[in-house]
This record gives sequence, C-alpha cells and structure tokens, in this order.
Amino acid sequence: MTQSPLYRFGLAGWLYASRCALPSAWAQRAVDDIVAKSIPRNASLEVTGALLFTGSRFVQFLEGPAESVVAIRQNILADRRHHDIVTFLSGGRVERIFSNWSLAYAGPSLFVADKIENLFHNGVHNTSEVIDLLEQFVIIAEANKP
Amino acid sequence: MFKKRVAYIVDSDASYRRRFALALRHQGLETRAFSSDADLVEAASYLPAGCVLLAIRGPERSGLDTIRRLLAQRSDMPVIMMRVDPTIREAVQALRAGAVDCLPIPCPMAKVRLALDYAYEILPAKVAHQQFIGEAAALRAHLTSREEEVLKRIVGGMTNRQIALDLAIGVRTVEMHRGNIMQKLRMDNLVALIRFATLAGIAGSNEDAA
Ligand SMILES: Cc1cc2nc3c(=O)[nH]c(=O)nc-3n(C[C@H](O)[C@H](O)[C@H](O)COP(=O)(O)O)c2cc1C
Repeated sequence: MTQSPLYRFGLAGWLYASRCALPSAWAQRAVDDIVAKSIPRNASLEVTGALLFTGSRFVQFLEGPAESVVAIRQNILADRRHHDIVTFLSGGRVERIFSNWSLAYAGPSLFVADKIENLFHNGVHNTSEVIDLLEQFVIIAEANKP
Repeated sequence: MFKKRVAYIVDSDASYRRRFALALRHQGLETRAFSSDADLVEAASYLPAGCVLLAIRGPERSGLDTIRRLLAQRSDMPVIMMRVDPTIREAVQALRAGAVDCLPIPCPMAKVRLALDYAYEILPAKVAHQQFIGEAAALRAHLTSREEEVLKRIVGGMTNRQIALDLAIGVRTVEMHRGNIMQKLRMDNLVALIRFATLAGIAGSNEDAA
C-alpha cells in the first residue's frame, strides 16, 4: 500500500484485520492476555491505537514511531493465535488519532461485525469508517469514566 | 431451544410494531408490544425475563436513558436497540450503555434472529446472576450498619487489627462482628464474602487505598 517518505522516520500507522485461530471458549482468555501485555508494551514504545474483537475477527489500528510500529507488527504477524491477516492501511501518518492504546470492544454485536465485513467488501474506502468505529468506542469509554 | 421465549417490542410506530410482532410470532416467539419506552420501564419489574427490542425513533439521548433505566431494574434482560439508519456513534453509545446490539430499522428477519439467538443464549446466565443479586440484597438486610462497616473493610483487605484501629473499637469487638457476619450470611471464607459484597453492591474499603 501507500509508502510515504515519512515512513522510516516519522509517524506510521497500521490498520489490519485477522481471524482468531482459537475456539471461542479460549478466545476471551487470549484477548485478556493480549490486552494485559499490549498496554505496557505499546506505551513503552509510544504506540497508540485500539483493538477490536468480534468473536471471530480481530481489527486493530496502531500508530506511533515507524520503528515501533514495525517491531510490534513483526510480533503480531508471527502470533499463532490469529491468521489470515489482511492489511488495509500502512504507512506514514500526519497526526495521531488516539492518545493511548486500549481494547475498544470485544463482544458479539452484529452491528460491529457488519462494519468489519464491509471493510473486506469495500476495502480501502471503508478504512476511515472502521477507524471512526474504534475511535467512537474509545471516546465514549473516556466520557463514561467516573 | 427454550419452551417460551418472550420478546418485548417497544416502538411508537404502531403499524411497524404490529408487523414486527407478527413476524416474530411466526418465528415461534411470544411477543408483548409497548407503544412507549416509559410503559416498558414502568412494567419492567413485573415481566418474565425476555429480550427487549427497543426502537428509538426520537432523539438518541432518550433511548440511552431508557436502556440505562431498564438495565438498572432488570440487568437480566438483553436489550437490542433498533433505529432507522443508526450512525456509528449511536450504535456505540447504545452498546456502551449496556445494549447487546444495535440493529437497523427495517432489518432482515435473518439478522434479527441471529441477534436474538445470541440474546436468548445468554439469558439464563443473566437471570441466574439477577437472582444472586436479589438473594444477596435480602441477606444484606440482616446485617447491622456496624457489621456492614466491618464487612467493607474485610473485603477491602484489612486485618482485624487494622479494622479495630480504623473504627476505633477493640480487636475483640471486630472478631465478634466478623463471627456474626459469617453466621448471618452462612459463609465460612473470605472468597464467599467478597463475592457476596460484590453482588450486594457493598464496595470494599481500605484505609491504604484511595
Ligand atoms: C490480534 C492481536 C493483537 C496484538 N496486539 C499487540 C499489541 O498491540 N502490542 C503488543 O505488544 N503485542 C500485541 N499482540 C501480541 C504479540 O503478538 C506478542 O504476543 C506480544 O508482543 C508478546 O510477545 P512475547 O510474549 O513473545 O514477548 C497481539 C496479538 C494478537 C493476536
């Protein structure tokens, strides 16, 4: 996909979707484990973004220093808990969207699952919709904090 | 499969409400329709457990309020919000308010079924949970306010000595309260006490925390 000249030195972003390789009974555990590891690791690498899990698919947007995103990306690509990893967006970013990294949503919602399927059917045209979806979850979670 | 699956339909649009109810009955569900969310909220505490299909035609805020008020009374009822052309923001707000899903109006029956199948699948566990909450509340009524203060500190992780200092009472008195609490609640270990406190809505307190 688009490879901006900023990629090596500046801010980079990566949006991908994948399929969970684990039976549903184990999936929730795996998500808990991924979240527990990713919060400190991403923070230490100055990577922000959000993860979403529909019960069968993962969608994640990561942004941060290009070297950091590359490092995490290599880990994620090698992780056997998911497969069929499809990249929808990869390259330089002008500015950050997220102020930290979090789990945006993990649940059965068909509304959410449909938005993710749209990404596969309409491809690149829907990347902003999916990032918006992640962002809305994060914004509303922040607003609801006591 | 459940013998009796009840769907509560809330929609101010009378003709849509009737058609939707009919379509759901064709799917083998029992239905009860309400013309306003206020009517459902008012009746909520008397209704058998079921799924709520809540059509929000007006401003989104009122819909979110309804979801919250409904779940405050009936945390056992899965709520599916329905809306004409829901925006991402509206759907996410509904999910964050506790709805299990957000479906568009109109919605193909196959999709409604999918959402309902999931909702009815989790219903028994939700009903059991609601029942535990009810039992915990009933047990809590047996505790004196002093015993509740002691319990809060026990589940907050304080020792008898710390509790005694914190409440300015004797360690022996704390031990006595602890014994009485265990006996009244018919529990013999800390894990059970913590579980009870969570269900009864008694937050643990700890002098170190804060
Ligand atoms: C869907 C998915 C998303 C993940 N997201 C992250 C992430 O954002 N940050 C991270 O450090 N690890 C993430 N991981 C976990 C990594 O793949 C890897 O397990 C982690 O970096 C720890 O590796 P280690 O235990 O071998 O050191 C993710 C894994 C999966 C399956």
